Amino acid sequence: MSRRWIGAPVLMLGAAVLLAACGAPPGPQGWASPKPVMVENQQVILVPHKSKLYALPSGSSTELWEFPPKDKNSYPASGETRGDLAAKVSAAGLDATARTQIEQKINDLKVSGPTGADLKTAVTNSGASDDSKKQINGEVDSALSFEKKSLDGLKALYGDIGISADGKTAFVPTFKGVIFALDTATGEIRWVRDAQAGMVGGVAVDGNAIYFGTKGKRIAALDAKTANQIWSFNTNGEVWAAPTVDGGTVYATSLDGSVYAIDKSSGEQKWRFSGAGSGIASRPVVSGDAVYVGSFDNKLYSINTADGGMNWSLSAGNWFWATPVVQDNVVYAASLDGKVYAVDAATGVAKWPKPFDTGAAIRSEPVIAGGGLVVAARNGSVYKLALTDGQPVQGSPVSAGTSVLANLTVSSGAMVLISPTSSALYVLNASGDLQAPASFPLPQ
Amino acid sequence: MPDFISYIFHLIVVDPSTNAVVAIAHIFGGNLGIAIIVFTLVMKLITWPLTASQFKQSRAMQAIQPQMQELQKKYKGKDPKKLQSETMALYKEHGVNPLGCLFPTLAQMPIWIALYQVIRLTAGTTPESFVTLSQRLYPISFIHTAVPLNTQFLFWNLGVSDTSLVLPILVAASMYVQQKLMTPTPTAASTPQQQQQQQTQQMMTWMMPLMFGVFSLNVPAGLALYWFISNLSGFVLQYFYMGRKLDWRSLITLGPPAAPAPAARLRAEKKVLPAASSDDGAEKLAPRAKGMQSTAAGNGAVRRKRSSKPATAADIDTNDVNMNDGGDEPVLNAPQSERRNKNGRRRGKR
Repeated sequence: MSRRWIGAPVLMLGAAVLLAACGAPPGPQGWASPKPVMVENQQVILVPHKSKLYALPSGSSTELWEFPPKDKNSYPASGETRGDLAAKVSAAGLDATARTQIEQKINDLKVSGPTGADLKTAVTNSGASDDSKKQINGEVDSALSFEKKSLDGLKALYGDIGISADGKTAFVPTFKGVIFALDTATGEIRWVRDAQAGMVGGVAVDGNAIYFGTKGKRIAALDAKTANQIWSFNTNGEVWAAPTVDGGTVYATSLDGSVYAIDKSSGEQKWRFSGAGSGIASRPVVSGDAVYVGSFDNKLYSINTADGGMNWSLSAGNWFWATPVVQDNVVYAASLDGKVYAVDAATGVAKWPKPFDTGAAIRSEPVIAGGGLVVAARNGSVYKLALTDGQPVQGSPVSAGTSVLANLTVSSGAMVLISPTSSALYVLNASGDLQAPASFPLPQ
Repeated sequence: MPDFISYIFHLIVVDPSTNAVVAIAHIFGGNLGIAIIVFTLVMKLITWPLTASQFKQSRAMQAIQPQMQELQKKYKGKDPKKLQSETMALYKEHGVNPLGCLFPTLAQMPIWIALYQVIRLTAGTTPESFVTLSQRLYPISFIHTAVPLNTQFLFWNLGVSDTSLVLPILVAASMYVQQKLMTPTPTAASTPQQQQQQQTQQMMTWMMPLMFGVFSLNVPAGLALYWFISNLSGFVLQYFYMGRKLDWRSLITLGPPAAPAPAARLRAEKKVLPAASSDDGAEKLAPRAKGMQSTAAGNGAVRRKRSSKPATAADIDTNDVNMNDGGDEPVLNAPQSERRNKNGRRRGKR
């Protein structure tokens, strides 16, 4: 064969390699888990998918609302913005007619579209002082611009949504680094804040405060109603998991390989565990006098809540990312090595004859439902394991269709909500032997 | 089939590279930036035989430009078949492979693609990439626990795109310099096709850096750092290989030269051909050519690039000598065996 003809197969091979290699890796997809919430005596499931959040009445594919909305021109500006503007107008000393007219326009204010200009015109034509006009119109511009920018290109939702105690507000962290407080009944924004860095972890809600960590190496506490910052705590690494609040302490993990115990009120550090050999991205779980975390150094740690000392550690064949589950003094932990481990919470001694091997990496947090441990592997296989010996129950595994990375959530008894990477919500009845989960396609 | 190729590609290229980057980072304090620099340099050294072959082909191609032009003059439009066969014979005689520059580039392509994936994986640009990374790391304790790497290098976060524009500019500038030094200095085009070819070549020297500069704005800074270090090390290797033969003046060349006037071409040829017919003559002429070339560098070359007028005979007297080989030395300084073959062939064919 002439040397000239060698070129063709080499070119073809090169092109094939190029095509095969360039097919990967996609941008951020998101893996926030579904969240059940009661809205006016009706159960609604908040289902995040990529950069969208859908509110579906339980057992239905018909959305109550979606966020961000398709049409921003008809989407109301945040409650906070409208409240602030109303307060400024009220303080501007306008006559009753003008004030009512402007307040009406504030009520109708949308994130985009002509309503902002209409409001500014009404303010300009009112009898308010030049200073007041300037102040109000400046607020309209800056608030709407920030809200529109916040709604554009949310990238993806990874962190689990926090729900207020009364169920009326959902706190939604975004990979873009913005937190939204949404009205669970309507999906409208109560307030929006720039977290100053992307968020992979979720939001923890405790009383009137919310707690979260960011990729900006920071843990912060905000007032849940006003979004005013209560305190901010700097870590040495990015924070990729939601903090856990227990008593007067906030426990948070960081990719710097530490677990921080922070005073809930003051934001002061109580202790710091930095014995992990690598980063920690699993949410801390507190049970009794110990906090349990999994690490990228392939170990699960039990740490004393009193002083941050290590009680014991358990080694696996790969990282622990999924948050462990603790019940009846047994810690259940799933690893990216595909195995599920069960150990005594006090001693770290294995409770099962051998760890259960799913054969595929596990990133998703397992749950206990129907008297068993429900685990979803990355390949979409979902198992229910007996708590006593780790053996799969009849019918295991069932398939969630596509890859599962999102944490599992239990809803009303033994119903397990599964959010695979496909555009659907799966609901698995885990009360007995496993049956194929019901699938609810998400609105397009 | 694509899945199988992807599997094999990951198994033999991406995974070893990923583990190597993580291991290097671990050795150098867990910093991804240092790991990228070290790994890029190591890969440059490993692929040096391919790069050297590319340089060699590039030089050989430059050296036979005068003969190529002669063949073009002689057969273009008259006997295309003869032109093709004579061109191929010329290539064969001088050991030039027309695809010689393409093969090394193609061979290095999988490495570039692999590095792209390695950097995206190790920089942890998305949480999903970390999950994937966990499955790609070898079960070696110090590699497995080395992640996450420190993506902060100087004032860049290597996991996100560089909005300060510093890296995109460095990437574009270094690529421009490398492209200019790799591309043969345009010879005096005698036909519209040649002019078009040269214009395309010139355009590519601008387009590629510009394109990569824009890419750098949209990819993780780690990848831009890799491109910059790769260009920089490529340039250094080129300098050591080509040495003083590098045509520094080509960096300020903005376009191909105008076609020389027939009289000037004739005079230039008279200067080249007799000297090239003898080894001794070549040795003797070399210093003279260098002397002329310095004049050209100072006056003729620059003046002619800026002028839209056709070159004058005086310009060509000085310029063609240095322009024909695209470097500081005239074509007559090509290896003696090549010159002998070259001129022997000419005589034989005539």
